[in-house]
Amino acid sequence: MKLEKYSKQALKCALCLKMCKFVCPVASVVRREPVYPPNKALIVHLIASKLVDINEEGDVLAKYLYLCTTCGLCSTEPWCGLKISMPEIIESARTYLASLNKVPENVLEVEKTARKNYNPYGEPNTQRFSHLNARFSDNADVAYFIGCTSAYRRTEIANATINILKTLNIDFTLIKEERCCGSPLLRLGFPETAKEFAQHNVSAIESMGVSKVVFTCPGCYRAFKKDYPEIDVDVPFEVYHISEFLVEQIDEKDLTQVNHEITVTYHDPCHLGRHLGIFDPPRKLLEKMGYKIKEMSWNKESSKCCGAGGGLLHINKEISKDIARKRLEEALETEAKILATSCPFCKTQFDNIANGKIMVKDITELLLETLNKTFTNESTKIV
Amino acid sequence: MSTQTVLKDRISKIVGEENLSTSLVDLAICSRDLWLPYFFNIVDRKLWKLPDVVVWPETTEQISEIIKLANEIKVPVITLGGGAGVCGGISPTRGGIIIDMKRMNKIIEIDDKSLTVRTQTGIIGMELEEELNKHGYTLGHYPLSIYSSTIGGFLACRSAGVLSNKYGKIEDMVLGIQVVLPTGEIIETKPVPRSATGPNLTQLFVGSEGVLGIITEATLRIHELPEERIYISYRLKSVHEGLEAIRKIFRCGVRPAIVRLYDEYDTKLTLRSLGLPAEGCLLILSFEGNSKLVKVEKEITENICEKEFKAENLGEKPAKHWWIHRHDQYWMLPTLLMGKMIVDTMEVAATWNKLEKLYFEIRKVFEKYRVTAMAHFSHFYQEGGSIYFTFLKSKEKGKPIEQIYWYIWKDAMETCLKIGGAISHHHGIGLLKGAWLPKYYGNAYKVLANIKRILDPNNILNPGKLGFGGMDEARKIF
Repeated sequence: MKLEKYSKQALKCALCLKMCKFVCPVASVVRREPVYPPNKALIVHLIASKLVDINEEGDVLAKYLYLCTTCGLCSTEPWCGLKISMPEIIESARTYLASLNKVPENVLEVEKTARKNYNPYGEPNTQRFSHLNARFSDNADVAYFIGCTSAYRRTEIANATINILKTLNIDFTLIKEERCCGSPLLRLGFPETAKEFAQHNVSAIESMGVSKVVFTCPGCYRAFKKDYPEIDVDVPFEVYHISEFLVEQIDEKDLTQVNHEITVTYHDPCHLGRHLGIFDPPRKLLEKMGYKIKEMSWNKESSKCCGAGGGLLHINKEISKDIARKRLEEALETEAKILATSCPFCKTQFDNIANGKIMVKDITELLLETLNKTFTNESTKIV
Repeated sequence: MSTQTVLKDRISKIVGEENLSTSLVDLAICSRDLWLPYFFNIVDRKLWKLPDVVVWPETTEQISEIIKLANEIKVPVITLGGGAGVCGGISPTRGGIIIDMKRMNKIIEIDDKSLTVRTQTGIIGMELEEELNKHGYTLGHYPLSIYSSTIGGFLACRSAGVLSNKYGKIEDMVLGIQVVLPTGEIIETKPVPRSATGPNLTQLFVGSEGVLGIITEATLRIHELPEERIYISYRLKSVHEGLEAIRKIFRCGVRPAIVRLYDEYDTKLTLRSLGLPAEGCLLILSFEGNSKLVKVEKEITENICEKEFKAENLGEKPAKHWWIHRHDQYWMLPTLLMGKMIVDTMEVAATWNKLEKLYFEIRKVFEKYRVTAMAHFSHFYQEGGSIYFTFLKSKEKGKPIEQIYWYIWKDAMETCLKIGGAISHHHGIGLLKGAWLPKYYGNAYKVLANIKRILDPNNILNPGKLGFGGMDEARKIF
């Protein structure tokens, strides 16, 4: 049982002196003792020790265990020196509750919807590429895994990426058989359904014969890079986040420095930054475009969450939005013109509340704009 | 109808039903702090005494209404700040209502001209500090629990931070407060720099551990962020020489921010981890503020340490290392606790003429019980200072660890009382030291008892704490 695997970690966390309380984005807006990370660990310990009756307390247990963005900031130094992985503790407890059917109705809905439509939004799978400037090729070496959010909700990111790849003459293709990567299901406690999707996606991509797959959604990228191997699904091709891929493809000399002196602050998506350690490629890409980066006070390893992670955007929109507001305040304090990120969820969060105070863009959109300006202003050839 | 049902029904009308809970999970989590017996229970997979209800109010007026209700139906009210106390001060030994203060986290005003901040007290220490820093200010209050404790918790327990030698303790920082009395009235004490208007009523509530009132707002003194901070470290021959050097530094009027003198045992651990010879007693200091003043303070200190005491200058590294890694000691704790070891701290204080004796006599208590103990001296005054013991003891065959724990504390507290020290310097009393507080005050304790009786005729606020329940109160948590 997965819960047992993490119950010792949970006990250790519950016996600590709670330094991480200060950094939990959810607790900073909910402000109730049980929501702080070590107390969530204590909840897991109470469950594992059978000190709470799941039948009687199921709703409360679920409420707290789903009030977590699984951002993992509490598990980093200096807030935690115990090498506790709070996201793993939380996900193991969610899996346990889900196995007993003790999760909130709107969480169960996600799994049902995804199983039926191959995406968590309930959109027809046949229309995954309908809003995109899609390209399919049998002989491409690179595949672009769009992800459900960019396919159905943030098509500007998918389209920007497709156009960039075309502009750069990259031999790429979309994945006809693409389905949800399984990330939302893993985060919410449904690893078995996630594994089905993982197996399907890997097998579909493998049959295409590509050697590289690029991602614009950090959730999808993390699923392939970190989660699939953990649920015993081998990934027999290279995977890259779009920023890692493009930073190698683009030389700053080839871009007109049209963005000179324009300030950008970059928000690290938790899945991409803290979870996979990718902090520099998006920043380097922005620098190559000529932007001047002004960091927020909490950045890179210590970046604060946008509030969408761990399913919270779906589970509790208000709390999720309050967390985003706090992060947006940090961005505004930098006085940067643009808040750049590289995740469709983070972009959605900030876009919904920015109200014109700051421009919110995905790095792919910024790059496409820069490429367009480069070609308009000068006839510089991009190699 | 049960008390719990009545409370649920009536309190939901005050705060809304979404802001209270009677679920076991909420009751359990909101009724424990970081006192060792709670850790023992967690390891042993046992629960503890629970309250009837937990409430999350958002306004002072809601707290007032809750307390009036508690008086009407005669149930206790206990205030929860960050839950980072180490003495069981929030234990609901007689059930009742736990008020979790953390939704009351608004910073009301930063007064640039007067250098004060007015804040609600449910804000976590570092949340306030972070906001002050953005404006170029600091509270200067850096207890090790700054990331988890609230301003209300600091005030209620007379907290001291690691920079306290310069910035003072929380009682030196507070100018005025808003308090909900045990009968529900809301009072304010004026935020003035000083007054000669009778006894200082603000200070009556500071350190009252939720027994005399609930502090809901506070006006605190703040400082400009220091222009400079510098560190120095010395090796002195002994605890005696180290204390003498500090005494002289303070006698000159120098006020370093950090002053920590480690005894031989603590020095060994600390210096060894830095790859330095583990001998003598390590003294670490920091100075901060105006660059010119810092330079003068450093010079005076160097003169005293190097010329008068022939101390070995170890440079800035040990002091700076401590500041950066000051929380690292925490990370050992869970593993030790999982082995059901006693791991605890004891902080006592005395004037210079008794300080060394207090140290050596309490050491004897630890030796008697074969306890591994180390100490540092910090938080100094012209008149004396505090001793902070960290002690560990493994299980012994045939003797329950809980029993040994109480024997150690009993002997140590009685030793402290005999010598004339303070039985707590900054952790407070809670349940842990309640048995010895009446002895500490002697016949002055009746003043505290009478104040409690008059302010709280129904004994509503945190009953049994501050010594009012004696040793028996502590037994009620299990």
